[in-house]
Amino acid sequence: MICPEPDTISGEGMAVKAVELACENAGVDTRDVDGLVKLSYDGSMSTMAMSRELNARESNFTIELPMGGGSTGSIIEAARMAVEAGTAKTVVCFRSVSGQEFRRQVSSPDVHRQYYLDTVNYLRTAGWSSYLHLFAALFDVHSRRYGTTKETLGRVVTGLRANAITAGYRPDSHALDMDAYMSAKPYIGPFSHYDDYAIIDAASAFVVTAEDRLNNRSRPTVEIVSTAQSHGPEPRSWYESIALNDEPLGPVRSVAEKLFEKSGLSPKDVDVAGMYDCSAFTFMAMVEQSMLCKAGEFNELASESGAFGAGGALPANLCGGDLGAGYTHGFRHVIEAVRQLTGTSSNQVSNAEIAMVMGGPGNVTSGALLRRKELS
Amino acid sequence: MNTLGVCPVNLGWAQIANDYRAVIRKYKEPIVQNCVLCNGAYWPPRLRCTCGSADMHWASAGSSAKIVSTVGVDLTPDQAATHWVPRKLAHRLPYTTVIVELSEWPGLRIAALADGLSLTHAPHGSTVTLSADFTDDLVTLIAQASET
Repeated sequence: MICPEPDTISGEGMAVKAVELACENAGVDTRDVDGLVKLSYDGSMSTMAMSRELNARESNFTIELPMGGGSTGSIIEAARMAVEAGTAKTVVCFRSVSGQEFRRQVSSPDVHRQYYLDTVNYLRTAGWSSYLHLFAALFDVHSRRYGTTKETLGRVVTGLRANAITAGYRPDSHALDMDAYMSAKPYIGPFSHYDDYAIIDAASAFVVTAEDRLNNRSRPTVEIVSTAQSHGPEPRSWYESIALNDEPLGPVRSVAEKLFEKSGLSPKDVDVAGMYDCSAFTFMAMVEQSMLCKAGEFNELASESGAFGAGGALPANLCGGDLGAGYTHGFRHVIEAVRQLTGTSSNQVSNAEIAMVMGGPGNVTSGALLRRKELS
Repeated sequence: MNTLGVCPVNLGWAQIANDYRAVIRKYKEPIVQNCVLCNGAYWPPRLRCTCGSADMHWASAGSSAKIVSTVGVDLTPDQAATHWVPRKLAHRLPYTTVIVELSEWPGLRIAALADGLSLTHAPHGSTVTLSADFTDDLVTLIAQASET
């Protein structure tokens, strides 16, 4: 993953660089990359162009995934399916967007996929604003149900900010305390600017391949234990907000249940978590719905000092997450999980063996369980 | 059956939205989509009922609803664009959006707009009165605290 200074490298340049670094890290030749998976919410290049820039010998599998922040597990799943089916031998997943391009994308209609606006005419005319609006509505329900307060959100924000600093994604001068957080004026529901992610230039990439094709055996690798996707109890369209339905066990919970059932693992086996975190409440909801704590008990979990740090009660988003270190559609959680499991994180959890990554609680989401694997 | 006309599901999302607004303008009240076959009700509208039927009509939503959740939006005009406040509603800031459950259609929720922030802390289950507003060249569902 690379996060250059803003406007110093193009989205395309970042994408190629990130893929090159991922291949180098895995010990694979870029020319052997015969499968590509990318988010449709990307601002770099087509998979065809990436194959060209990598001088790939063949293109056996290419796919773009449309679920935005819900794509975290599906990206891994698509790549794994291609490798296990024998369709492709070496698949690279990537996402690259400059901050400027991201701002442009989110502030204008998608002219090529206008069908995503199928239900936009209803919520927007009721004053519905940005994605924060959805999470503000969900926070309101959670608060009414469990007594969740803004202080809990503050513990998330300050905790992930501390992780970002420890991991080196923010300078020490960016440290944030609860007084500063609580004094910031809220503007959408309970959220102030501290509850929102920063827009950055970032590119991420990882390699999925069969174990016998790895040439870098100097450290452990990462095994994909289980992947899953779900729309939850009811299918919904993009703008048909989950806030319109009383589903405390939404798509995230469905994915979590599938992951644990498929793998035979349980929540207590998870050593490190990478939870989608476009807002402070999102992280909170993700932890509960991913079964890492019981519904309504996040308040108590967050009240522990350093709860989400490397030595905390629930090591999570150790790089600071998108909330603490800048938005990547949750892609950075996969990168950090791999680093944790291979012992190469700059905010390392001791003996991390199982990592859980989970996409955002929108209308379709996905997740994965990953495990450290020692190579012989 | 309380029908306000056929919902043109075969004409696609844009036309359904146009028809939705036209029906509200005509009858001057909030509406929902209603399945003729099973009486299922939906908001936003869909192309098919969950029972599989395409025989969908518009029906009155009724004017009474109970609050499920509220969100206060208190942005400056400069912040409004950054946070995707609908341009034609920016002049209403600050405002509150509410999700309410319709008394006429138990279990069905819709979103509506309330001027100001007075409803932001309205208790769960508070009754509101729904109406339709046609200023700003929009069709907007409005929620107001019901008089006790």
